Amino acid sequence: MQEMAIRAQGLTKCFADFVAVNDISFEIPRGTCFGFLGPNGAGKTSTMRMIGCVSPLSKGTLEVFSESTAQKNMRSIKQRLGVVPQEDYLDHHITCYENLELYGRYFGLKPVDIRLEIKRLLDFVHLEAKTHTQVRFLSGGMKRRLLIARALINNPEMILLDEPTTGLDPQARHLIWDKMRELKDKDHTLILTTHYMEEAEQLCDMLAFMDDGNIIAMGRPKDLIREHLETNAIEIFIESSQRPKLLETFNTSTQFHADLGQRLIIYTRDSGTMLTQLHHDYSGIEIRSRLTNLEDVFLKLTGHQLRENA
Amino acid sequence: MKSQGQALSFSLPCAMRVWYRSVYIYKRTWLINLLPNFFEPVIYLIGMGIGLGAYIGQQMQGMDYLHFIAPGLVVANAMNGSTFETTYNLFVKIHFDKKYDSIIATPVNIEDAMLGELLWATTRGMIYGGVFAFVIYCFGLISFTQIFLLLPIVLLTSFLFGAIGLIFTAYIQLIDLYSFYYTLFLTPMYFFSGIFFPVENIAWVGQIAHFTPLFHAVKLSKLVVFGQMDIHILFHLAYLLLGGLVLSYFGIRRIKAHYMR
Ligand SMILES: Nc1ncnc2c1ncn2[C@@H]1O[C@H](COP(=O)(O)OP(=O)(O)OP(=O)(O)O)[C@@H](O)[C@H]1O
Ligand SMILES: [Mg+2]
Repeated sequence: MQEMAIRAQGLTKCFADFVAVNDISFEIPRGTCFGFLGPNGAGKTSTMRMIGCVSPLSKGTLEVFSESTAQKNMRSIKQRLGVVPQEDYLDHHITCYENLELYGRYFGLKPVDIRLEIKRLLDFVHLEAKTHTQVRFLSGGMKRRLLIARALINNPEMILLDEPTTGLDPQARHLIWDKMRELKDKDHTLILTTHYMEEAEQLCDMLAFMDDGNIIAMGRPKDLIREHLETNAIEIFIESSQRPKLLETFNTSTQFHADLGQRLIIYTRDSGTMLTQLHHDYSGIEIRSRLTNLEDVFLKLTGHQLRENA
Repeated sequence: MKSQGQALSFSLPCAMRVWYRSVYIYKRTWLINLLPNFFEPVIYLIGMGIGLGAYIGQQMQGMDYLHFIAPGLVVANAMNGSTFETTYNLFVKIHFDKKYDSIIATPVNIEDAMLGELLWATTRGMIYGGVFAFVIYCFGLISFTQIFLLLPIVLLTSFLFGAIGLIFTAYIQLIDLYSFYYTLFLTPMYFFSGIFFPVENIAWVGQIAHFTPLFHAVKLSKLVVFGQMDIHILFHLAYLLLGGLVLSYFGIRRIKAHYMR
């Protein structure tokens, strides 16, 4: 049997009367990457904070490395975790180097021991030139990179990354993805939240879609796409007045289609036939065909919710 | 439901890591930080001790006024040093800078962080009080050994006022409320704690003064400097120590509850 890094049963988080995380259960095997996806306010950060032992559970049980988080002090668990928080909680009036050094000390590491490690980590996130620059002079993306370097200072077995690549430029994002793969190869467990479906698709072995505090779907990225939608997506830029007729024609009015303002996306197994007919019936309209991806699944699982509430 | 959040479990090594952080930050600007707080009591010492002292002569319990006020100013300075750390500074770190949100993701728990800050407040109070003790030694107002007799008192005073500031910070949501803390608590106490005149004999003020923390600290400082050490010393010391322990315990619990919601 595979060893579990996380076992969560009936995990629940309430803030007064408000239920932010509602009775969710999941397991995360060691050495894998698990992703939480979902719209703003879905409960991703609340879940991550419980795993990180900085927010007590309202109900349920949670084991991290087979240790219960309900024990009196969670030091032994936290010693093995690396955390990239969603918010930037750096020390702004000291340098990058000093930030990492002070943070390393919280883990009981000695500055002499971590000096090389700090250099290596700053090189890795391409901040070596900013080693002795105060954090307040860094750009937003540089601060995110520094946060990632900081989370690795104790060589953690498990790393919690709450939107690690938000605000990064493409180079930096790919850099971080490479590093995350490297960490996974070295048997580190990664837990990630993101709004970038490409990131989730590329990195995560397992995904959980959250909405309103619930896990509404869970599985491997490929399986999720296959289970929920047809293989091909056709994007049609068409006026809303013409849409009912079009949907009628292709008999998709009853099935899921994504209505995104300017764009209508319909899903089909046989895109060839549909494209031919579309071009014939609606000449002069912009039409794009592509493979169905995780973003479509996201729209299906959480999109109509938005519409209903709107 | 919140059981796991509330019980306190301290780790001194973890607390010291947070203490170190403050020392580290303070080292960079210590002179700028220390000087204003050093001038203030020196101005009081000179202004009142020499200025007012010229009129009072030897009437204050048979000694000249400069001697009379010097020891009390040492502990008052310790009070100011540690108070600042656990009032404004702590509030900003908790509510604005969110310092502890990232610290508690490490093996350092919130109670360790608060203990660390309390130790740092105590350290800062020690620096302020200690430096001022040295100043009055240079003025020839106390002997060299008396500096060292004053230090334990400075330590406990700093600790107690760190704890009082901490519990106040734990219970307020609004930084503006510190103006009440300073104007209605610290300032009256400063004047009616026996630093500048004996308060015991003033009708009801004397009664109230007995309950205020600075009164005991000032009392102690005068007892050791004017060489009247007796059994009362233990009572005053116990007041400072126990007061500090009790208030810091409840203050830290409250702050933990805030973080472990
Ligand atoms: N400390 C708190 N007190 C009260 N409500 C909170 C608190 N923290 C989070 N919530 C609420 O819980 C819900 C879930 O928040 P959470 O931060 O977990 O969402 P999220 O999925 O991380 O969203 P995002 O994608 O915007 O980061 C939200 O409705 C939020 O308002
Ligand atoms: Mg979030």
